[in-house]
Amino acid sequence: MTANPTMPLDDVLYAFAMARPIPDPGTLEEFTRKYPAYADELTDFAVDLLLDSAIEDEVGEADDDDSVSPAVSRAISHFQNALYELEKKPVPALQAVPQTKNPFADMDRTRFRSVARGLNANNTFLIKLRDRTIEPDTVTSRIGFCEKVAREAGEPMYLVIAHFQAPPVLARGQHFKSDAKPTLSARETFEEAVRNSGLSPEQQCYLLKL
Amino acid sequence: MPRALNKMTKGGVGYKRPPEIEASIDMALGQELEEQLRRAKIRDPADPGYMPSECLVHLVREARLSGDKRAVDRLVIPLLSRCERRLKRTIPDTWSDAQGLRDEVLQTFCELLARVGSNQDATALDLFECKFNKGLATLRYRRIRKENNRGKLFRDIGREVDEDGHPIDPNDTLGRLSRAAQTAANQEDFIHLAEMLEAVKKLPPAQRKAVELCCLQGYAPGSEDPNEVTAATICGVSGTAIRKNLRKAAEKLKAR
Repeated sequence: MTANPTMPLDDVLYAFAMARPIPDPGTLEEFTRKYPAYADELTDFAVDLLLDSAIEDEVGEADDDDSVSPAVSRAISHFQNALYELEKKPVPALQAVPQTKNPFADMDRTRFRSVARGLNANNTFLIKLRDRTIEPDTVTSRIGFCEKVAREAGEPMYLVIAHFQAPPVLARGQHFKSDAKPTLSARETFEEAVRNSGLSPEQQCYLLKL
Repeated sequence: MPRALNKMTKGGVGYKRPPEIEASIDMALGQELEEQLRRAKIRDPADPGYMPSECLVHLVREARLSGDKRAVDRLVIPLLSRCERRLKRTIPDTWSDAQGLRDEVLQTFCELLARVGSNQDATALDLFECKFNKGLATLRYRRIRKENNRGKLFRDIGREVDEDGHPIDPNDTLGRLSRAAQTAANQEDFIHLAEMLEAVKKLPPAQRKAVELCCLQGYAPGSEDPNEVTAATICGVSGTAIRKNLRKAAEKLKAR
Protein backbone atom coordinates (compact mmCIF):
# COMPACT_ATOMS: atom_id res chain seq x y z
CA MET A 1 0.00 0.00 0.00
CA THR A 2 1.18 3.49 -0.78
CA ALA A 3 -0.02 5.44 2.22
CA ASN A 4 2.08 8.47 1.29
CA PRO A 5 2.38 8.29 -2.47
CA THR A 6 5.48 9.86 -3.91
CA MET A 7 3.61 10.80 -7.05
CA PRO A 8 1.68 14.09 -6.86
CA LEU A 9 -2.07 13.84 -7.22
CA ASP A 10 -2.08 15.75 -10.51
CA ASP A 11 0.33 13.26 -12.06
CA VAL A 12 -1.77 10.35 -10.83
CA LEU A 13 -4.86 11.95 -12.37
CA TYR A 14 -3.03 12.49 -15.67
CA ALA A 15 -1.87 8.89 -15.68
CA PHE A 16 -5.40 7.71 -14.93
CA ALA A 17 -6.85 9.89 -17.71
CA MET A 18 -4.36 8.41 -20.17
CA ALA A 19 -4.81 4.79 -19.11
CA ARG A 20 -8.02 4.02 -21.04
CA PRO A 21 -10.12 5.89 -23.60
CA ILE A 22 -13.03 5.60 -21.14
CA PRO A 23 -12.26 4.69 -17.52
CA ASP A 24 -13.52 1.28 -16.48
CA PRO A 25 -13.99 -0.29 -13.04
CA GLY A 26 -10.88 -2.47 -13.46
CA THR A 27 -8.59 0.49 -14.12
CA LEU A 28 -10.14 2.44 -11.26
CA GLU A 29 -9.57 -0.45 -8.90
CA GLU A 30 -5.98 -0.84 -10.08
CA PHE A 31 -5.25 2.84 -9.45
CA THR A 32 -7.02 3.03 -6.10
CA ARG A 33 -5.06 -0.02 -4.95
CA LYS A 34 -1.82 1.55 -6.08
CA TYR A 35 -2.64 5.00 -4.66
CA PRO A 36 -5.05 4.41 -1.74
CA ALA A 37 -4.42 7.89 -0.38
CA TYR A 38 -6.03 9.27 -3.54
CA ALA A 39 -8.89 6.75 -3.71
CA ASP A 40 -11.64 9.33 -3.19
CA GLU A 41 -10.17 11.76 -5.70
CA LEU A 42 -9.63 9.02 -8.26
CA THR A 43 -13.19 7.74 -7.91
CA ASP A 44 -14.63 11.22 -8.18
CA PHE A 45 -12.40 11.97 -11.16
CA ALA A 46 -13.39 8.69 -12.82
CA VAL A 47 -17.04 9.73 -12.60
CA ASP A 48 -16.17 13.10 -14.09
CA LEU A 49 -14.32 11.46 -16.98
CA LEU A 50 -17.20 9.05 -17.56
CA LEU A 51 -19.69 11.89 -17.73
CA ASP A 52 -17.33 13.87 -19.92
CA SER A 53 -17.06 11.01 -22.38
CA ALA A 54 -20.85 10.77 -22.52
CA ILE A 55 -21.16 14.40 -23.59
CA GLU A 56 -20.45 14.79 -27.26
CA ASP A 57 -18.94 17.88 -28.81
CA GLU A 58 -21.34 20.31 -30.35
CA VAL A 59 -21.24 20.17 -34.13
CA GLY A 60 -21.83 23.51 -35.80
CA GLU A 61 -21.10 25.65 -38.80
CA ALA A 62 -17.52 26.81 -39.30
CA ASP A 63 -16.72 30.15 -37.70
CA ASP A 64 -16.74 32.45 -40.69
CA ASP A 65 -15.26 35.54 -39.09
CA ASP A 66 -12.75 36.48 -36.44
CA SER A 67 -15.24 37.77 -33.90
CA VAL A 68 -14.97 36.11 -30.51
CA SER A 69 -17.24 35.78 -27.52
CA PRO A 70 -16.71 37.94 -24.42
CA ALA A 71 -15.43 34.86 -22.53
CA VAL A 72 -12.79 34.14 -25.18
CA SER A 73 -11.92 37.82 -25.29
CA ARG A 74 -11.30 37.77 -21.53
CA ALA A 75 -9.23 34.59 -21.92
CA ILE A 76 -7.10 36.18 -24.66
CA SER A 77 -6.52 39.17 -22.44
CA HIS A 78 -5.52 36.85 -19.61
CA PHE A 79 -3.17 34.99 -21.96
CA GLN A 80 -1.52 38.23 -23.10
CA ASN A 81 -1.14 39.37 -19.50
CA ALA A 82 0.38 36.01 -18.50
CA LEU A 83 2.82 36.27 -21.42
CA TYR A 84 3.74 39.77 -20.42
CA GLU A 85 4.33 38.74 -16.84
CA LEU A 86 6.49 35.77 -17.82
CA GLU A 87 8.52 37.73 -20.37
CA LYS A 88 9.15 40.68 -18.10
CA LYS A 89 9.91 38.78 -14.91
CA PRO A 90 10.65 39.99 -12.31
CA VAL A 91 7.89 42.52 -12.69
CA PRO A 92 5.08 43.85 -10.53
CA ALA A 93 1.88 41.84 -10.21
CA LEU A 94 -0.50 41.25 -13.11
CA GLN A 95 -2.87 43.96 -11.95
CA ALA A 96 -0.24 46.55 -12.76
CA VAL A 97 -0.11 45.61 -16.43
CA PRO A 98 -3.06 47.61 -17.70
CA GLN A 99 -1.72 50.74 -16.02
CA THR A 100 1.82 50.23 -17.28
CA LYS A 101 1.43 52.29 -20.37
CA ASN A 102 -1.26 54.04 -22.33
CA PRO A 103 -0.03 53.53 -25.90
CA PHE A 104 -1.59 56.83 -26.98
CA ALA A 105 -0.61 58.98 -24.00
CA ASP A 106 2.84 60.04 -25.15
CA MET A 107 1.94 60.74 -28.77
CA ASP A 108 2.36 64.31 -29.93
CA ARG A 109 -0.37 65.91 -32.02
CA THR A 110 1.21 64.94 -35.35
CA ARG A 111 1.71 61.34 -34.35
CA PHE A 112 -1.80 61.16 -32.89
CA ARG A 113 -3.32 62.36 -36.17
CA SER A 114 -1.13 60.01 -38.16
CA VAL A 115 -2.32 57.01 -36.13
CA ALA A 116 -5.94 58.14 -36.57
CA ARG A 117 -5.40 58.35 -40.34
CA GLY A 118 -3.70 54.94 -40.34
CA LEU A 119 -6.80 53.48 -38.73
CA ASN A 120 -8.97 55.22 -41.32
CA ALA A 121 -10.59 57.07 -38.40
CA ASN A 122 -10.49 60.58 -36.92
CA ASN A 123 -9.22 62.25 -33.75
CA THR A 124 -12.56 61.98 -31.97
CA PHE A 125 -12.59 58.21 -32.34
CA LEU A 126 -8.94 57.91 -31.33
CA ILE A 127 -9.59 59.99 -28.20
CA LYS A 128 -12.25 57.43 -27.24
CA LEU A 129 -9.67 54.71 -27.62
CA ARG A 130 -7.10 56.69 -25.67
CA ASP A 131 -9.45 57.50 -22.79
CA ARG A 132 -10.97 54.00 -22.79
CA THR A 133 -14.53 55.23 -23.04
CA ILE A 134 -15.54 52.10 -24.97
CA GLU A 135 -16.80 48.90 -23.34
CA PRO A 136 -13.68 46.68 -23.24
CA ASP A 137 -15.31 43.42 -24.35
CA THR A 138 -16.77 45.07 -27.44
CA VAL A 139 -13.29 46.19 -28.54
CA THR A 140 -11.11 43.27 -27.52
CA SER A 141 -13.47 40.77 -29.14
CA ARG A 142 -12.45 42.39 -32.46
CA ILE A 143 -9.01 40.91 -32.80
CA GLY A 144 -8.54 42.29 -36.33
CA PHE A 145 -9.15 45.80 -35.04
CA CYS A 146 -6.80 45.32 -32.06
CA GLU A 147 -4.10 44.03 -34.40
CA LYS A 148 -4.54 47.10 -36.61
CA VAL A 149 -4.30 49.45 -33.60
CA ALA A 150 -1.16 47.63 -32.40
CA ARG A 151 0.42 47.98 -35.85
CA GLU A 152 -0.44 51.65 -36.25
CA ALA A 153 0.59 52.54 -32.70
CA GLY A 154 3.77 50.47 -32.98
CA GLU A 155 3.00 48.72 -29.71
CA PRO A 156 2.69 45.01 -28.86
CA MET A 157 -0.78 43.48 -29.02
CA TYR A 158 -0.84 42.54 -25.32
CA LEU A 159 -0.27 46.16 -24.33
CA VAL A 160 -3.07 47.40 -26.58
CA ILE A 161 -5.49 44.78 -25.21
CA ALA A 162 -4.43 45.48 -21.63
CA HIS A 163 -5.01 49.19 -22.28
CA PHE A 164 -8.55 48.62 -23.56
CA GLN A 165 -9.32 46.37 -20.58
CA ALA A 166 -8.30 48.97 -18.02
CA PRO A 167 -10.75 51.42 -16.38
CA PRO A 168 -11.61 54.66 -18.25
CA VAL A 169 -9.53 57.75 -17.54
CA LEU A 170 -9.92 61.47 -17.66
CA ALA A 171 -7.13 62.64 -19.91
CA ARG A 172 -4.59 64.77 -18.11
CA GLY A 173 -3.56 68.10 -19.52
CA GLN A 174 -6.99 68.71 -21.03
CA HIS A 175 -8.92 71.91 -20.32
CA PHE A 176 -12.50 71.71 -19.16
CA LYS A 177 -14.95 74.64 -19.31
CA SER A 178 -17.17 73.72 -16.40
CA ASP A 179 -17.92 74.89 -12.90
CA ALA A 180 -18.11 71.31 -11.69
CA LYS A 181 -15.33 68.79 -11.59
CA PRO A 182 -15.41 66.66 -14.77
CA THR A 183 -16.61 63.10 -14.28
CA LEU A 184 -16.48 59.98 -16.40
CA SER A 185 -19.51 59.31 -18.55
CA ALA A 186 -20.95 55.88 -19.34
CA ARG A 187 -18.98 53.80 -21.80
CA GLU A 188 -20.17 53.22 -25.34
CA THR A 189 -20.05 49.95 -27.22
CA PHE A 190 -17.53 49.74 -30.04
CA GLU A 191 -20.28 50.10 -32.62
CA GLU A 192 -21.76 53.14 -30.86
CA ALA A 193 -18.32 54.72 -30.68
CA VAL A 194 -17.86 54.19 -34.42
CA ARG A 195 -21.33 55.55 -35.20
CA ASN A 196 -21.03 58.58 -32.90
CA SER A 197 -17.62 59.93 -33.82
CA GLY A 198 -18.46 61.87 -36.95
CA LEU A 199 -16.90 59.27 -39.24
CA SER A 200 -17.98 58.92 -42.85
CA PRO A 201 -20.14 55.89 -43.77
CA GLU A 202 -17.11 54.38 -45.56
CA GLN A 203 -14.91 54.80 -42.48
CA GLN A 204 -17.62 53.30 -40.26
CA CYS A 205 -18.02 50.34 -42.57
CA TYR A 206 -14.25 49.79 -42.68
CA LEU A 207 -13.81 49.88 -38.90
CA LEU A 208 -16.78 47.64 -38.19
CA LYS A 209 -15.46 45.05 -40.61
CA LEU A 210 -11.98 44.84 -39.11
CA MET B 1 7.72 14.32 -37.48
CA PRO B 2 6.15 16.27 -34.57
CA ARG B 3 8.25 17.19 -31.58
CA ALA B 4 8.18 14.46 -28.91
CA LEU B 5 6.20 15.05 -25.74
CA ASN B 6 8.10 15.66 -22.52
CA LYS B 7 5.83 14.44 -19.77
CA MET B 8 6.92 11.11 -18.33
CA THR B 9 4.92 8.51 -16.52
CA LYS B 10 6.20 7.19 -13.20
CA GLY B 11 7.80 4.29 -15.07
CA GLY B 12 9.87 6.73 -17.10
CA VAL B 13 7.88 6.24 -20.29
CA GLY B 14 7.01 9.36 -22.26
CA TYR B 15 3.43 10.21 -23.20
CA LYS B 16 2.62 9.31 -26.79
CA ARG B 17 0.06 10.89 -29.07
CA PRO B 18 -2.36 8.56 -30.85
CA PRO B 19 -1.10 7.74 -34.39
CA GLU B 20 -3.96 9.63 -36.08
CA ILE B 21 -3.03 12.78 -34.14
CA GLU B 22 0.63 12.39 -35.12
CA ALA B 23 -0.44 12.12 -38.77
CA SER B 24 -2.72 15.13 -38.48
CA ILE B 25 0.07 17.23 -36.92
CA ASP B 26 2.48 16.15 -39.65
CA MET B 27 0.08 17.34 -42.29
CA ALA B 28 -0.75 20.64 -40.53
CA LEU B 29 2.92 21.51 -40.00
CA GLY B 30 3.37 21.49 -43.77
CA GLN B 31 0.52 23.95 -44.33
CA GLU B 32 0.50 27.74 -44.50
CA LEU B 33 -0.91 29.68 -41.55
CA GLU B 34 -4.00 30.74 -43.53
CA GLU B 35 -4.83 27.13 -44.32
CA GLN B 36 -4.23 26.10 -40.71
CA LEU B 37 -6.61 28.85 -39.62
CA ARG B 38 -9.26 27.84 -42.13
CA ARG B 39 -9.14 24.29 -40.83
CA ALA B 40 -9.06 25.37 -37.19
CA LYS B 41 -12.39 27.15 -37.64
CA ILE B 42 -14.19 24.05 -38.94
CA ARG B 43 -16.44 22.68 -36.20
CA ASP B 44 -17.68 19.48 -37.73
CA PRO B 45 -15.34 16.52 -37.06
CA ALA B 46 -16.88 14.76 -40.08
CA ASP B 47 -15.61 17.52 -42.41
CA PRO B 48 -12.48 16.29 -44.26
CA GLY B 49 -10.70 19.57 -43.47
CA TYR B 50 -11.42 19.38 -39.73
CA MET B 51 -8.36 19.80 -37.55
CA PRO B 52 -8.37 17.85 -34.25
CA SER B 53 -8.03 20.09 -31.21
CA GLU B 54 -4.96 18.07 -30.14
CA CYS B 55 -3.30 19.17 -33.37
CA LEU B 56 -4.30 22.80 -32.83
CA VAL B 57 -2.71 22.77 -29.36
CA HIS B 58 0.49 21.48 -30.94
CA LEU B 59 0.52 24.27 -33.54
CA VAL B 60 0.12 26.95 -30.88
CA ARG B 61 2.93 25.39 -28.83
CA GLU B 62 5.19 25.23 -31.86
CA ALA B 63 4.45 28.85 -32.72
CA ARG B 64 5.29 29.85 -29.14
CA LEU B 65 8.53 27.85 -29.22
CA SER B 66 9.61 29.32 -32.54
CA GLY B 67 8.67 32.86 -31.46
CA ASP B 68 6.10 33.25 -34.25
CA LYS B 69 3.94 35.77 -32.44
CA ARG B 70 1.63 36.37 -35.38
CA ALA B 71 0.77 32.67 -35.60
CA VAL B 72 0.23 32.49 -31.82
CA ASP B 73 -2.09 35.51 -31.82
CA ARG B 74 -4.19 34.09 -34.64
CA LEU B 75 -4.26 30.37 -33.78
CA VAL B 76 -5.01 30.92 -30.13
CA ILE B 77 -8.43 32.38 -31.00
CA PRO B 78 -9.96 29.24 -32.57
CA LEU B 79 -8.26 27.15 -29.89
CA LEU B 80 -9.82 29.12 -27.03
CA SER B 81 -13.16 29.17 -28.86
CA ARG B 82 -13.08 25.38 -28.96
CA CYS B 83 -12.24 25.27 -25.26
CA GLU B 84 -15.14 27.57 -24.51
CA ARG B 85 -17.60 25.49 -26.53
CA ARG B 86 -16.49 22.30 -24.77
CA LEU B 87 -16.69 23.94 -21.36
CA LYS B 88 -20.18 25.18 -22.11
CA ARG B 89 -21.17 21.56 -22.69
CA THR B 90 -19.42 20.18 -19.63
CA ILE B 91 -20.11 23.05 -17.21
CA PRO B 92 -23.75 23.75 -18.04
CA ASP B 93 -25.59 26.82 -16.84
CA THR B 94 -27.37 24.67 -14.26
CA TRP B 95 -24.21 24.78 -12.11
CA SER B 96 -23.77 27.61 -9.67
CA ASP B 97 -21.49 30.32 -11.08
CA ALA B 98 -21.06 28.27 -14.27
CA GLN B 99 -19.63 31.22 -16.21
CA GLY B 100 -17.14 31.97 -13.45
CA LEU B 101 -16.01 28.34 -13.43
CA ARG B 102 -15.63 28.29 -17.19
CA ASP B 103 -13.64 31.53 -17.08
CA GLU B 104 -11.29 30.13 -14.44
CA VAL B 105 -10.66 26.91 -16.35
CA LEU B 106 -10.01 28.88 -19.53
CA GLN B 107 -7.60 31.13 -17.66
CA THR B 108 -5.70 28.16 -16.25
CA PHE B 109 -5.39 26.79 -19.77
CA CYS B 110 -4.12 30.20 -20.98
CA GLU B 111 -1.51 30.23 -18.22
CA LEU B 112 -0.26 26.83 -19.38
CA LEU B 113 -0.04 28.11 -22.96
CA ALA B 114 1.85 31.19 -21.82
CA ARG B 115 4.42 29.03 -20.04
CA VAL B 116 5.48 27.33 -23.27
CA GLY B 117 8.98 28.41 -24.16
CA SER B 118 9.58 29.92 -20.72
CA ASN B 119 11.50 28.19 -17.97
CA GLN B 120 8.24 27.19 -16.28
CA ASP B 121 6.70 23.76 -16.56
CA ALA B 122 4.19 23.47 -19.39
CA THR B 123 4.25 19.69 -19.71
CA ALA B 124 0.65 19.52 -18.49
CA LEU B 125 -0.22 20.50 -22.07
CA ASP B 126 1.06 17.12 -23.24
CA LEU B 127 -2.24 15.59 -22.18
CA PHE B 128 -4.05 18.10 -24.41
CA GLU B 129 -2.01 16.88 -27.38
CA CYS B 130 -3.05 13.29 -26.67
CA LYS B 131 -6.65 13.68 -25.47
CA PHE B 132 -7.84 17.27 -25.61
CA ASN B 133 -11.21 16.75 -23.93
CA LYS B 134 -9.59 14.82 -21.09
CA GLY B 135 -7.10 17.63 -20.60
CA LEU B 136 -9.96 20.08 -20.14
CA ALA B 137 -11.81 17.60 -17.93
CA THR B 138 -8.73 17.41 -15.70
CA LEU B 139 -8.47 21.19 -15.35
CA ARG B 140 -12.19 21.38 -14.61
CA TYR B 141 -11.94 18.64 -12.00
CA ARG B 142 -8.97 20.29 -10.29
CA ARG B 143 -10.84 23.57 -10.12
CA ILE B 144 -13.97 21.99 -8.68
CA ARG B 145 -11.98 19.86 -6.24
CA LYS B 146 -10.46 23.02 -4.76
CA GLU B 147 -13.83 23.90 -3.28
CA ASN B 148 -14.63 20.32 -2.41
CA ASN B 149 -17.98 21.01 -3.96
CA ARG B 150 -19.19 20.07 -7.37
CA GLY B 151 -21.58 22.98 -7.25
CA LYS B 152 -24.18 21.33 -9.42
CA LEU B 153 -27.81 22.19 -9.07
CA PHE B 154 -29.94 19.37 -10.43
CA ARG B 155 -33.70 19.24 -10.71
CA ASP B 156 -35.08 16.17 -8.93
CA ILE B 157 -36.05 14.09 -11.95
CA GLY B 158 -38.07 11.73 -9.76
CA ARG B 159 -40.62 14.49 -9.20
CA GLU B 160 -41.24 15.14 -12.88
CA VAL B 161 -44.71 14.23 -14.09
CA ASP B 162 -46.19 14.00 -17.57
CA GLU B 163 -49.18 16.01 -18.79
CA ASP B 164 -51.57 13.53 -17.14
CA GLY B 165 -49.83 13.96 -13.81
CA HIS B 166 -48.14 10.54 -13.85
CA PRO B 167 -44.50 10.28 -12.72
CA ILE B 168 -42.22 9.87 -15.73
CA ASP B 169 -39.71 7.81 -13.75
CA PRO B 170 -41.74 5.64 -11.31
CA ASN B 171 -38.89 3.17 -10.72
CA ASP B 172 -36.33 5.89 -10.02
CA THR B 173 -34.10 4.61 -12.82
CA LEU B 174 -33.27 8.09 -14.08
CA GLY B 175 -33.25 9.48 -10.55
CA ARG B 176 -30.44 7.14 -9.55
CA LEU B 177 -28.49 7.98 -12.67
CA SER B 178 -28.92 11.68 -11.95
CA ARG B 179 -27.81 11.31 -8.32
CA ALA B 180 -24.73 9.32 -9.33
CA ALA B 181 -23.82 12.14 -11.72
CA GLN B 182 -24.13 14.93 -9.19
CA THR B 183 -22.86 13.75 -5.84
CA ALA B 184 -19.42 12.86 -4.58
CA ALA B 185 -18.97 9.34 -5.86
CA ASN B 186 -18.08 5.99 -4.40
CA GLN B 187 -16.89 3.02 -6.44
CA GLU B 188 -20.34 1.48 -6.43
CA ASP B 189 -21.77 4.64 -8.01
CA PHE B 190 -19.00 4.54 -10.58
CA ILE B 191 -19.80 0.97 -11.61
CA HIS B 192 -23.52 1.76 -11.79
CA LEU B 193 -22.80 4.90 -13.82
CA ALA B 194 -20.46 3.08 -16.19
CA GLU B 195 -23.10 0.44 -16.90
CA MET B 196 -25.89 2.96 -17.27
CA LEU B 197 -23.92 5.20 -19.62
CA GLU B 198 -23.23 2.23 -21.87
CA ALA B 199 -26.98 1.60 -21.98
CA VAL B 200 -27.72 5.30 -22.55
CA LYS B 201 -25.47 5.23 -25.63
CA LYS B 202 -27.80 2.67 -27.20
CA LEU B 203 -30.92 4.81 -26.81
CA PRO B 204 -32.42 6.55 -29.86
CA PRO B 205 -30.85 10.02 -30.32
CA ALA B 206 -33.80 12.06 -28.98
CA GLN B 207 -34.05 9.95 -25.83
CA ARG B 208 -30.31 9.96 -25.35
CA LYS B 209 -30.21 13.74 -25.66
CA ALA B 210 -33.04 14.14 -23.13
CA VAL B 211 -31.22 11.90 -20.63
CA GLU B 212 -27.91 13.68 -21.22
CA LEU B 213 -29.39 17.13 -20.64
CA CYS B 214 -31.71 16.31 -17.72
CA CYS B 215 -29.87 13.54 -15.86
CA LEU B 216 -26.20 14.28 -16.56
CA GLN B 217 -26.25 18.05 -16.92
CA GLY B 218 -29.15 18.97 -14.65
CA TYR B 219 -31.38 20.93 -17.03
CA ALA B 220 -35.11 20.93 -16.31
CA PRO B 221 -37.15 19.22 -19.06
CA GLY B 222 -39.16 22.40 -19.66
CA SER B 223 -40.32 25.51 -17.89
CA GLU B 224 -43.16 28.03 -17.94
CA ASP B 225 -40.56 30.76 -17.73
CA PRO B 226 -39.68 31.53 -21.37
CA ASN B 227 -36.28 32.90 -20.31
CA GLU B 228 -35.15 29.72 -18.55
CA VAL B 229 -32.73 27.54 -20.50
CA THR B 230 -34.12 24.02 -20.40
CA ALA B 231 -33.70 20.76 -22.29
CA ALA B 232 -36.73 21.81 -24.32
CA THR B 233 -35.26 25.18 -25.35
CA ILE B 234 -31.90 23.58 -26.16
CA CYS B 235 -33.50 20.91 -28.37
CA GLY B 236 -36.09 23.26 -29.83
CA VAL B 237 -39.03 21.07 -28.79
CA SER B 238 -41.73 21.27 -26.10
CA GLY B 239 -41.21 20.24 -22.49
CA THR B 240 -43.87 17.57 -23.08
CA ALA B 241 -41.75 16.02 -25.85
CA ILE B 242 -38.72 15.92 -23.54
CA ARG B 243 -40.75 14.29 -20.75
CA LYS B 244 -42.07 11.68 -23.21
CA ASN B 245 -38.52 10.87 -24.26
CA LEU B 246 -37.44 10.64 -20.62
CA ARG B 247 -40.32 8.27 -19.84
CA LYS B 248 -39.42 6.01 -22.80
CA ALA B 249 -35.73 6.13 -21.84
CA ALA B 250 -36.57 5.21 -18.24
CA GLU B 251 -38.57 2.19 -19.41
CA LYS B 252 -35.76 0.98 -21.66
CA LEU B 253 -33.04 1.55 -19.07
CA LYS B 254 -35.07 -0.25 -16.42
CA ALA B 255 -35.57 -3.22 -18.75
CA ARG B 256 -31.89 -3.51 -19.72
